[in-house]
Amino acid sequence: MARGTLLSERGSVPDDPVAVFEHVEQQGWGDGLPVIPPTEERVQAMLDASPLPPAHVVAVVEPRRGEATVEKIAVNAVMAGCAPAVFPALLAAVGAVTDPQFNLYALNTTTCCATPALMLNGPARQALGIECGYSCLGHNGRANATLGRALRLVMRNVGGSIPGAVTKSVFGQPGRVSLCFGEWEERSPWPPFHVRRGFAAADSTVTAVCATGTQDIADIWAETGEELIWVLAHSIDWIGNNKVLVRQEQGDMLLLLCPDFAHKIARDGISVPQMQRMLLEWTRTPIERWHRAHWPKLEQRGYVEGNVVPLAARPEQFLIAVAGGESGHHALYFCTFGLTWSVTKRFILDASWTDGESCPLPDTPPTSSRP
Amino acid sequence: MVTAVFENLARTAARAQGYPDLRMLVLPHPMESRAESAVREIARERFAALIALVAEEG
Repeated sequence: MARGTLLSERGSVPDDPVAVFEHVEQQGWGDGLPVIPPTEERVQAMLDASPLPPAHVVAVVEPRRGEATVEKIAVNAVMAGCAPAVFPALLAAVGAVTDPQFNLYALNTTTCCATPALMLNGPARQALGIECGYSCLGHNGRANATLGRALRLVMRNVGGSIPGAVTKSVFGQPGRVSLCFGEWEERSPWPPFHVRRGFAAADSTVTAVCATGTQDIADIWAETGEELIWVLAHSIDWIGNNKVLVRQEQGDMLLLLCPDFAHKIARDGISVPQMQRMLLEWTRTPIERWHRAHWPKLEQRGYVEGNVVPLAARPEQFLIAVAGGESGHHALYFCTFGLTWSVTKRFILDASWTDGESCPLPDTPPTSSRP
Repeated sequence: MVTAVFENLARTAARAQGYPDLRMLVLPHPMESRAESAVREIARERFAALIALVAEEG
């Protein structure tokens, strides 16, 4: 339990939700939504969920190069509405997005709308109540909403990601408030994402993918896995894709399949590596899809092979995971910002947070889609 | 050198890196969508200012 002296400056605000909300917005600390006042007691409760001392620096957050101490992260976690149990996952998420591979400096300053999409794996999903199924990417579940939001507040308040002044994202996007879900491992026909990355099934991990948003891919006609992968491939190879702006060998992108899609593909004996190879091959886009004036620009950059422009260079750049409701018919594509790689970090929950908390298993009535 | 839209960011980053008074040449934004001839014209126009900044004492 990380009891220790808190170093943050104390402020006094009338004990009124609206007054607190207005104060936070006036200070530029918020995201436009109400916050929970980060009182000393609440911050201490958050700190109790980690063995790290409050002054421990988890990461330096670009571009302001602010020090994300455990205490500062806890303050933002309280503001976002996190339950203390979520705090270890948030610390791991901060570690993931500040890993040099993720390239947070670029994300926090680009004109693009990219934002970290957080995917949780492992037993922590159950302990924390992370939604993996129906509407897991929005309006379903406190843990999903507040974990993603807390990370964004850390990026803003520690990293200086202030719209207009520092971040030049032309539009932003709803995912810049929160974008977090769990893989529904129990409804996947394949090993969980984190296991495919070399972690143990019993490990809990958070993966950060730098995504320009979520693009729906719908299909009701594919009868085979191959047909379905064809639909997926030709739904992600559009020429305005931010991925096209960078070299093929840069960046990885996530395809999130609903359980129905995943089982249709697996039923036909197609493994994840096979699917990745098919996606690589079928996203080699004929150059004729670009205006002729673009051709020399693509060629100058070395993006053209023969008469095609490949979306990626290696199968592993297509990340595959399973989530979403049982109603089927949809996948989501998380187009990559490009100059970035996804990062997975392991975290450990204090046993006291996992005891006695349970979520419905997949076979229970569909009142919830938690694992 | 920085294009105008990114000036605030550049100053923030410079401060964060310990160079609050870093000299900067601010160029028009955006640059990528201009024709090469237009970019070269900007370069010719601003070259003297760049040299002056680099040569500045202190």
